[in-house]
Amino acid sequence: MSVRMSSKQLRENAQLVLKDKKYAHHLQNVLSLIQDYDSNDVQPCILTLEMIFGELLRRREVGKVCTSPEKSASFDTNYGFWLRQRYERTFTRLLIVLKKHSTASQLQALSTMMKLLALEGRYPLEDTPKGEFYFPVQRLQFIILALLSSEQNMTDPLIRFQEFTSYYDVLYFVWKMLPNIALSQKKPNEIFIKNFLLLIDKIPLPTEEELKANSEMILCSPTGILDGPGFVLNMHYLRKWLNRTWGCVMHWDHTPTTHHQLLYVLLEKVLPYLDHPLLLTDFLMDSLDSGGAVGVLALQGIFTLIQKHNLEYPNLFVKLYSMFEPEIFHTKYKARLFYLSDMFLSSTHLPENLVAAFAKRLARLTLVAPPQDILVILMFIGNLVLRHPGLKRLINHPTGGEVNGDPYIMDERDPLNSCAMESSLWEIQSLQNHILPSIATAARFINSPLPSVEWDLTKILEQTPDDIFVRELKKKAKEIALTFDKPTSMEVPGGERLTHYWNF
Amino acid sequence: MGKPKAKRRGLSESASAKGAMPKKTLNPFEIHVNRQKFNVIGRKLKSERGLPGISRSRAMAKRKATLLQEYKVKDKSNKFFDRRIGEKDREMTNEDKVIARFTAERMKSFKKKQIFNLAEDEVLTHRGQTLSEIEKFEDFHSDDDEDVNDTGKLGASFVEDAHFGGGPEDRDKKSRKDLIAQLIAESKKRKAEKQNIREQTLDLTEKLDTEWHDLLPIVASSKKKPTDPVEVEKPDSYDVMMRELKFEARVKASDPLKTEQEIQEEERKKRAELEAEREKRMFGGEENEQLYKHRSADDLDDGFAIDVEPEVTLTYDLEGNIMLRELESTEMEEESSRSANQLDKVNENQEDSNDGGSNNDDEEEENSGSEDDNDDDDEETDDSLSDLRPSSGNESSAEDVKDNQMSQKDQKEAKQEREEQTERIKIEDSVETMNNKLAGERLLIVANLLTEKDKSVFLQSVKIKFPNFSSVPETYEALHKILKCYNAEEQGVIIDHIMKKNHISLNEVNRSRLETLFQFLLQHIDHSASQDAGQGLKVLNYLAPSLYDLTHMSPECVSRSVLEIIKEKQQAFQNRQQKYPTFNSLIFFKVVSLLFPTSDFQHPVVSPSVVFMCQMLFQCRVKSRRDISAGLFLVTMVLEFTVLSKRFSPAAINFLCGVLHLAIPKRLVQVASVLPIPPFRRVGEYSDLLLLEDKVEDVDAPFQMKVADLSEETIDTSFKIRALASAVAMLGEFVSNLSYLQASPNMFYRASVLLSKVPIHHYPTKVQTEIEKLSLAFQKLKEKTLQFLVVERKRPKALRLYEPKIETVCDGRRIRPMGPEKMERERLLHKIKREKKAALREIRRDNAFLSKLKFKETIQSDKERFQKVKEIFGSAASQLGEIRALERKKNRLKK
Repeated sequence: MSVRMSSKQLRENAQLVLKDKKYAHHLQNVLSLIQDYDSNDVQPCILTLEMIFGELLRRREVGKVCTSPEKSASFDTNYGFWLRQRYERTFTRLLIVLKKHSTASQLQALSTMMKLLALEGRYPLEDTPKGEFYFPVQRLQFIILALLSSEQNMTDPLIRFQEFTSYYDVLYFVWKMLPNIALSQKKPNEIFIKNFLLLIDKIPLPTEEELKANSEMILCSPTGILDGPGFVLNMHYLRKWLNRTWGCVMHWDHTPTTHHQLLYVLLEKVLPYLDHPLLLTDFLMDSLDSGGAVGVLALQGIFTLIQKHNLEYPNLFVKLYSMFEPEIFHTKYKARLFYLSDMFLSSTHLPENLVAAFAKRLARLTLVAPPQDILVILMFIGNLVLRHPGLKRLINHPTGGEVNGDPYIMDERDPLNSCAMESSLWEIQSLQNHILPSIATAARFINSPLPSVEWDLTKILEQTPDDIFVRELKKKAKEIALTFDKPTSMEVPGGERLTHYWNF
Repeated sequence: MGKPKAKRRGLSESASAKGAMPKKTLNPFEIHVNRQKFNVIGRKLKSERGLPGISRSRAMAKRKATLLQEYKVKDKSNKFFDRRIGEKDREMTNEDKVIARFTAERMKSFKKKQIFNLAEDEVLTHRGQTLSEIEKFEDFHSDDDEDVNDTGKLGASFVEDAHFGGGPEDRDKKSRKDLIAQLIAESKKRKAEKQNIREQTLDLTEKLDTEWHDLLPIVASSKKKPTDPVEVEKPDSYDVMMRELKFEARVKASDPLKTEQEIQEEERKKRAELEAEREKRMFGGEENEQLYKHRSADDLDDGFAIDVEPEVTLTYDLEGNIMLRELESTEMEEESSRSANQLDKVNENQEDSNDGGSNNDDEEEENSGSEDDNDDDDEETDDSLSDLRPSSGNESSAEDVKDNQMSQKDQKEAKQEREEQTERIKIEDSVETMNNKLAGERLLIVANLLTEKDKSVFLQSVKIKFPNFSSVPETYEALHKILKCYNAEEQGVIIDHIMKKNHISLNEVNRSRLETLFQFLLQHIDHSASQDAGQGLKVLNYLAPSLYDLTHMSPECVSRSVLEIIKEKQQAFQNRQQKYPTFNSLIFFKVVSLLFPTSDFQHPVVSPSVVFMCQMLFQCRVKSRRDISAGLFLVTMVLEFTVLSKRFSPAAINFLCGVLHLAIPKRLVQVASVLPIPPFRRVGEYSDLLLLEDKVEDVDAPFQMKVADLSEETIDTSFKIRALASAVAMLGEFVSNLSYLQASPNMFYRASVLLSKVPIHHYPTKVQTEIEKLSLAFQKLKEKTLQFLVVERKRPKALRLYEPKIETVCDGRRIRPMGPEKMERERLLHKIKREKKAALREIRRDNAFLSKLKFKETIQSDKERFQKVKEIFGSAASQLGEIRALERKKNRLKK
């Protein structure tokens, strides 16, 4: 029966099935179509099945599982049994679609399964013990296992799945099964880890405020039975499962990309719920050493630990100092880095030569930095000088005079030994001749007395080159200056360079 | 006769009479004197004497004329004013009225505008022609020419027929209608004939007039001939002289024609002004950083500084000799301003190039880089030339004075020396001029490949093909249709022609047309560059003068359209970042650099372009030959933008470092500080695109980049060498431009380390020398001494000054000392107070006047009422009396 059916035909079929039991064979047709069609055409079939079974579940016509259909059973029982078989098969087919097919079909299959799952929770197929909340855990487990594929990147279905995790019962049961899944995987491959971490990222534990605000978000709420059993979200269990899961995840072998993702998920979602966050210190410190984006994320983790969990780490500033490399401008998290280092260096009790070393190093970086970062760094240095009045000697030497070569040692790893205090911020002075007027003006702050209030870094941290371009466009001039040498050719009179280096 | 006399007496007499007449003697009883307690001599008071009666009556009259009138028309909404002149004046005669009205009309025509315009009078016309035109009598044809016979009367025959037509028997049967028609036709014919004859005579007269002029000399000579030569007296020399003087040709004074030199001088001045302005913009409002050692509160900030002689304590050494310590003049170094640095630099370059390094760029820079330098050179040559003159009172005369004091022999030697000097200078000059000439010739060749004649011929041919090509096309497609048939040079000629035909001076509408033309041209450049980079550059090359002219016609619009394009390109780039855009985006930076001063600190067009360039250099991945070339193109443009302003761009230097890194075998790069900065990769597929594996033979060709590099993907050996050579040369120029910056050693540190790692022996010797030269320059940079930053000391604040307490006039009253503004305010307040008082008094008197008037009115109306009542009573009484009389009569009759 590999005849293609239009969506109209499918709908007619569905209506027939629902109308009378004698047309039940049409259901079989539709079901077989899922297998036959290639991935792009599956969607209408899935929708049709959703419609049919949704209605059937509501009518409670799908029967219970029996090992063998009794002959003596009535037609209705047999029909129910038959329907149940079809229902189970539908589910397996949908799982296959979720695992193998194209993104659109995957998404459709996932949402259909979740809808059926919700209906099943409301109209249970099996007899449920009274007074207990019923949730089709088995089905959910299949879905989750399909989502945590080891072969395919499931980013889009996982993002769709996030919509369902706002139901507390789904959230609860997912977390409940996660430790076992994590334990079962000894040496998972990269794709699995990615999917797993993404799943964790998408199922955040609700905060206290959220718990108070909407406690009614439950997928399988038994609307039919008014005095049915309610669902209680046990935060204690959730935390326990989370810790257990995380313990497993940390012990897997991580590639650089998953390491990065792991840190991200850890910082954004997991860290606040961990029982013993200080155990992460070594992990974070190792990550810090690897530098780049991972380093920045680790730095943030350390910052949280220091701030909330009283971590003391003596070598922190050396590490932070070593993170300021020219490559940092081309990583994703540079805004985070600047923000965090501004926080770290906000203490006025730091030794002056340490801060001076930071200022000097940042100033050196301005010589190779893109414009938007130069602006940030200039404000940053300005803030450092404001906090530590002793640093004023970097921009206003008490005696003046001259020196052969910069005393500051860029290659020194220890900021305290870099001789930054003997230097001056010549880089900033040179930046006053930067090609961009906005930077040249910003660099003039060292010429005049400093303001009494610190500059607000947060406003410009996220600036992009396009922003600078747009801002430059918006500047209006009263008069537009023009050249006054009429060119006779392409060469600019008095300043031609192009034709010297290029042979046209 | 009496009347005109009386008129003639007029003004002057009445004026004198007034002066002569004694003042009207006033009745002393009418004068009211305000006595003053203290007389102040010399003070004049207005209110010393008053004439209460007169002033009261005057006020009454005034009120009657104004307030009373208003009172009368009060509550009456309609008004009728008869404004005809003299209508109410009974004394005027009718004629007078007419005259008065006419004069008023005339007066009206003298508007205020024309008061001082004495020359322009009312233009009188006759039949639409001004009288002055008619009165030239140029085309005078007297009415006498008219046929005397033509009196407008009917012809005799007609009269005979029509008027005195006898019996109808012997006449043709002609109706009256026919007759009239015949008559009209005849008269028309006659008129036409007459007109014809008249025109002929006129023509002949004119002809005669003209020919007569030719004949005149003959006639004159024929006249002269018969006169006796003896009769001609020899004129007196005095007379001759006098007449000569009298009839000497006189020319009206006019502005003297400017000589070539003056024009040049003017041009030079204008240029200097423009350049000064440019310089000012270059620093962008940043005040000149002059470091004063000491700044006093009284400093006027005019840059004047007293040179304080360093105090030298008189000391003696052990043997009793005076010790003179040369104080190290640190000030000198500080004073050495930026411009001086630049000059030094240029001189260095000059030396370099003279030394034999055939660095084309340096020479070019010397020639065309900065006019100031050339000027300086010129001055130098001038000086030395003037030195040659035996009596020179020149400023470099210290030597001369010495020379003069020397013996003659010495003088000779000195002369020789000087000659040598001048010779040297001459040679230098000639070298320079040669260079200049070469450059100039190249330009000329470019500009004048087509001579004028060829151009016109060419334009004709274009015209045949496209009849209306000289008007600005409406759409870009139309322009493109024309331009695509011709090569770049011819396109330039066509555009030039279009611009000439549509110049603004011809019609102001052309401005908007030319603005659209500019946009079309940009589009055209874009289009041609997108097809082929070389073609785009060629088109730009020939369109550059036209673009320049268009820009100067309407700077706002042009800058807007260029900016629009840059914006568009930037948006396109935003969508596919990390990839160098195609050449049709890059070429517009060249357009910007052609049209706008790139040295400005801030410029509405240049600054966004710079941002865009830096953005590309920082973000775009370098993966192929095209990418490297595009990057190098951008770096060249950055260099061109900063040639004058000597600004610093990390993006450009980073890119050049990246290019160096591409040419280095990777095992050598281990030090952290020489790792390339993204977008260049540390290792991997694209990290050694330019690496030369083996030694390459020397090639004679110059190592310039080529247009083809911008489009091709594959990298060959020649490209590897050229890219590196260009990068090295550009780095060298950046180093020389930026070496004045304190942080320059750190700026180029990375580049210097990378350069030292380049496998130098693989390259041709020319490139090797370039690399060595650059590393020498780096070495030099490293030895630079740095001055610690010291914030310029702020000028101390002066004490607040108060207004000095000076009284100009002492008249007993003390005026409180106050500022001029406050004084003015006080004065005005006082005035307001007084005016208010006066106004109140006036109002009070007006009220009194009105109430008196009302009172009078009520009395009047009462009186009338009484009168009427009386009358009524009277009539009633008489009526009653009559009735009674009648009754009495009746009674009597009854009796």
